[in-house]
Amino acid sequence: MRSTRIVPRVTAPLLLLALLVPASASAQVLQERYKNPANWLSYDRDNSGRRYSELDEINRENVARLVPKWVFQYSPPQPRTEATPLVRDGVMYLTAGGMRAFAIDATSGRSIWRFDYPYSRSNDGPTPNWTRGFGISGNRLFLGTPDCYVVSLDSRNGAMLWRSQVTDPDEQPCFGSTGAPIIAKNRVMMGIRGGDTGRIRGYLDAFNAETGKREWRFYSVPAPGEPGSETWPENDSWKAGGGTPWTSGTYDPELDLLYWPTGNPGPKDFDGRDRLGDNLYTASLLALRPDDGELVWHFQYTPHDEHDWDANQTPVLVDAEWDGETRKLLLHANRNAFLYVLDRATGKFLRGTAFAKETWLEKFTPEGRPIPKPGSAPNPSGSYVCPDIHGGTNWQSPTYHPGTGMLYVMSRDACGVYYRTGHSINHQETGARNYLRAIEVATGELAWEVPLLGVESEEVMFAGAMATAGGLVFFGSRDGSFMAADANTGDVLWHFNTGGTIRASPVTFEAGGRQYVAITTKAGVFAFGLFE
Amino acid sequence: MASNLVVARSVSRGSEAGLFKLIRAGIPGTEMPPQPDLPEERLWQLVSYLRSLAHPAEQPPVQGDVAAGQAIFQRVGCAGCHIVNGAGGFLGPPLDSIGVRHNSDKIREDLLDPSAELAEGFGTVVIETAGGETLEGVLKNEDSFTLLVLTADGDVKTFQRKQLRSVHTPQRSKMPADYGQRLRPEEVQDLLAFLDRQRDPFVPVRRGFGNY
Repeated sequence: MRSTRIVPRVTAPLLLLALLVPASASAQVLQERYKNPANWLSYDRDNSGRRYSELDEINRENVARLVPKWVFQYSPPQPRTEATPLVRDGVMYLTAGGMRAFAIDATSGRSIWRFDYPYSRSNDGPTPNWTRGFGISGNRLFLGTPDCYVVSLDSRNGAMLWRSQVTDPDEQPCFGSTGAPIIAKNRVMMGIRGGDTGRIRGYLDAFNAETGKREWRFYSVPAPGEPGSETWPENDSWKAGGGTPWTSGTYDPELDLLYWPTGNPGPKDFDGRDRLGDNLYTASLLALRPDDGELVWHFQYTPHDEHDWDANQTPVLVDAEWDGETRKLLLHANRNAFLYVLDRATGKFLRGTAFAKETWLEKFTPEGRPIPKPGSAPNPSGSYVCPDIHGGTNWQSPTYHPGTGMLYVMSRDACGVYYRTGHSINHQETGARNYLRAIEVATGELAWEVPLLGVESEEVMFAGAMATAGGLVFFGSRDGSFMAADANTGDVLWHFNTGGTIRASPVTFEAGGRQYVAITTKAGVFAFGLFE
Repeated sequence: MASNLVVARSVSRGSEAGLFKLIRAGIPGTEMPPQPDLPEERLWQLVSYLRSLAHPAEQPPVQGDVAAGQAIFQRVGCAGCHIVNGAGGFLGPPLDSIGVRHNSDKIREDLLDPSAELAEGFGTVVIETAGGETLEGVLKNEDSFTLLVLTADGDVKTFQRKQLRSVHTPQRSKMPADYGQRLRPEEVQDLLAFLDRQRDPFVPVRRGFGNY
C-alpha cells in the first residue's frame, strides 16, 4: 500500500497567517509520572491526548521486522472490544467487555489476576458490554461499569477497594459508563453514556481516588436559571437534553484545566423542534477546574446539533508557536468533519479546516460559530449531507507527533440522508471511504493519506492511531489490519492481519528492556516486538 | 425429571448470562418451556433467585462477637495479607466475600490449618537465580518458560526458567498455622463470626491459573 500525497482539497475558512512549529519537549504537557516512556498510564498515554510515545527502539528502519510476541485471548471472544490497555512496570492492565478485567505480564502475556464484575444489571434498556479501559493512580485502578458505577481495584491482586455510583436509577435511567476514567489531582473523572436515548441529562463526575467519595458533578445541560439555560426553550427538554460526556477528557496541569467533550443534544437527535436554541453545553468542549468542576470556558462546535455529530473526540493538547508566539493549543478533529484549533487557555477559536468530506458548512464566524448551508438540517423528505451519522471521525484516538507537527486522524468520507425521524446510510450507493490522514497543524493542510478498505458494510471504522519517536504511526482498520506508516511520508512499512475487526487504538510500552506495540481486538490483545 | 436446582451445575457454576438465556429459550425437547413473554427484569430476578438457591452460604450466621472478631483480625495481623472492606494486604486472597464463597467449616479449616487446602494463585514459590540469589514470593502464573512472582513490595517479577538455578513450590501456606494455639476458642469463634459476615457479593478475584 502506498500513500498518496495530494493537494489539499479542504479550505481554510479563516485565513490566518499562522506559523506553527512544535515547541520543545520541555514545554510539553507531561506530568512527572508520565515521563517514563516505558509506561502507558492513561487512555492516551499521558493526559495530553496526543497518544504519542518517546520509545524508538522500533523505528522506520526496522519496523519491517516486527513480529507477534504474544497474544492474550479473551475467553470467550468479546463482541465489541474498545479497550486501551494500560502498562506500568511491566504489567498490563486490560479490560474485556464491560465486566471483566485482567492484569497480564507484559513480557509473556500470561495473566496475573482476573477481575469479574458481578453485573447488577440495569433495567433501563440495552447496557453496554464494553469499556475503553482503566485509569490508574498509584496502586489503584479505576473502571467504569455497565451499571453506572466506578470501581477501584488494587493493581497488585485485583481486589476491589471501593465502588461508587455514577448514576442513581432513582434520579435518571442508567445506560453505563464506557469511557476510560481520567485521573487528575487525585480525582477520578468519569462521564456517562446514553444521550441518544432521549431520556437523560449528561454529566461528568469526579470521585476521590482514595475514598471513592463523589466530590463534584458538572451537568452538561444546565437546569432552568443556570448559565446556559437561555439556550434551551421553556419546556422540559433539558431534562433529556443529552450532552453525555461518554469518552475520556484531557488535562493541562500548568493551566489546571480539564478538557472534556460532550455528546449531542436530545431528547431527539434529528428533530430539534422541541429544543430550539443552541442547546449548551452539548456538542461542546468544556474547560473545567478539577478541584470543583467550575466551568472556566466552553466552546460549542455544533450548536443545535441535529445530525448526532456530538463532540466526543479527543481534545489534543499541544504547545506550539502560533503567529510568532508559543501558545497552548487544543486540537480537536470533530465528528462534524472539521479540525479545530483553539487557544486552550481562553477557548478562543483560531482556525477550523475540513479534514474529511463535508457539505454542510457555509462559513465560520470569527468566533468559530458554524453557519450551516440552507437545507442541511434534517427534513421530512430527507437531507443529503456529508458526513453521515458516524462522522468524519469518531471516538477513536487521533495522534500528534511533535517531530512532524502533524495530527494523524482516522477519517471517513461518508454521506447520509437525514430525516427528522432518523437517518439512512446506504454506503453501497453513497460510498464511505476510510483513511489515515496526516494534517499539518501549522496550516491545516493535508500532508498525506493512506486509503483503507473501501465501502463499509456492517462495521464502521472505529480503529485509532498512535505516533512514536521511531518516526512511525501505528493504526488499525476495521478489516483487522494492524499497520505502521512512516510519520513523514505515509508509506505503509508494516502490516499484520489480526483476523478480526479492530475497534480500538494502539499502545506501546517497554517491558523486559524491549519495546512492544499492542492492539486489542475481539479475540484479545496482540503484542508485537522486533524479531530477535 | 427435572434437575435439582440447588445443585445443578448450570445453576451453581454457569454464567448468569447463560442462565438467563436458558430460562428465556427453554430446553427444546424437554418439558422446560421458553419464556418469550417474561420481561427481562423478571428473568434477571429469576436468575438471582436460582443463584441464591445454589449458594453454599445460605445458612444461619455464625455465632460470636463480630466486633471482637474484627479487632482480632487487625490485632493478629490478618489484615497484613488479606483485604476486607477495601483495605488490607495483597499477598493473600481477598476476604471481602469469604462468607459467600465458603461455609463456616471451610473457613475454620482455612484459619486453623491453612496448608490443608492451598488457594490457587496464592501459593508460595522459592527461586534461586543463576547468580545464587534466593527470592520468595507468591506464584501468580507460570508456563513452560516463565514464572510470574508477586513480591512483598507489590511488584510482579518475570523470571525465565532457563535463567534459574532452582524453583521450589513448598506445599505450605505462608499464613501462620498456629492461630489454634494463639487464640482462645472463643476468640476463634469471634473471628469466624467476623469472617462469616464478609458477604460483599462483588467477588473480586477468581483464583487459579489459566491464560484467561
